[in-house]
Amino acid sequence: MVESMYIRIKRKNQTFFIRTSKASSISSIKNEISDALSCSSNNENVIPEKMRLYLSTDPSSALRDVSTIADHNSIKDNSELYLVFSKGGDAWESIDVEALSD
Amino acid sequence: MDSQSDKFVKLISAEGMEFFMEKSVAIAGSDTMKAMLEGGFSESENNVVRFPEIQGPILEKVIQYLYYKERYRKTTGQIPEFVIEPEIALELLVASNYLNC
Repeated sequence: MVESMYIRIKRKNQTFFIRTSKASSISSIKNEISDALSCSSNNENVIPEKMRLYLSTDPSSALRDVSTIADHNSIKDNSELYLVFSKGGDAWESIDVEALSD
Repeated sequence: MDSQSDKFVKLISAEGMEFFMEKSVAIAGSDTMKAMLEGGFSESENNVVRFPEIQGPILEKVIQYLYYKERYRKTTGQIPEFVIEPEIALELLVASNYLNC
């Protein structure tokens, strides 16, 4: 029985709902995000190499491509991760998520 | 080179927040979404649907529900409760009525 779950990935005013499983790699998640962006011509197509995923808003919580969901105990169904894009060269966006009003 | 994904759709809330979800989950969970995405309505320009009357937090909750519905579609017996915060219940009711889900 496949244990399917979904995670929500946030960046600025965007939220990506990605279905995944414990065995999925972070790299595969980035591929899904890239796929999602390409569904609309109004969004820039960003390749996985230009993405960074974070476990929390703490900049030291960057997730390695080769690791899997299972490697990070805190990632569960409906968990929230954070995404930034490369600004070119070695520069990366800072984690910035538009807060949903409570 | 211009390959547009058909797996995902983009939903845009009243304030312009963008939510990306799997098209199949949207279509399976809401007749209104199905009609919008398959029927060539003006609300949907290839894979994008706008909801000018639904706020971001409400739309996010709706999408969470659609995934929940899909996840437990075939489960018989007990399933976990889908928790709804009282503060959003009223707006959520309006949205779910519109979306028929």
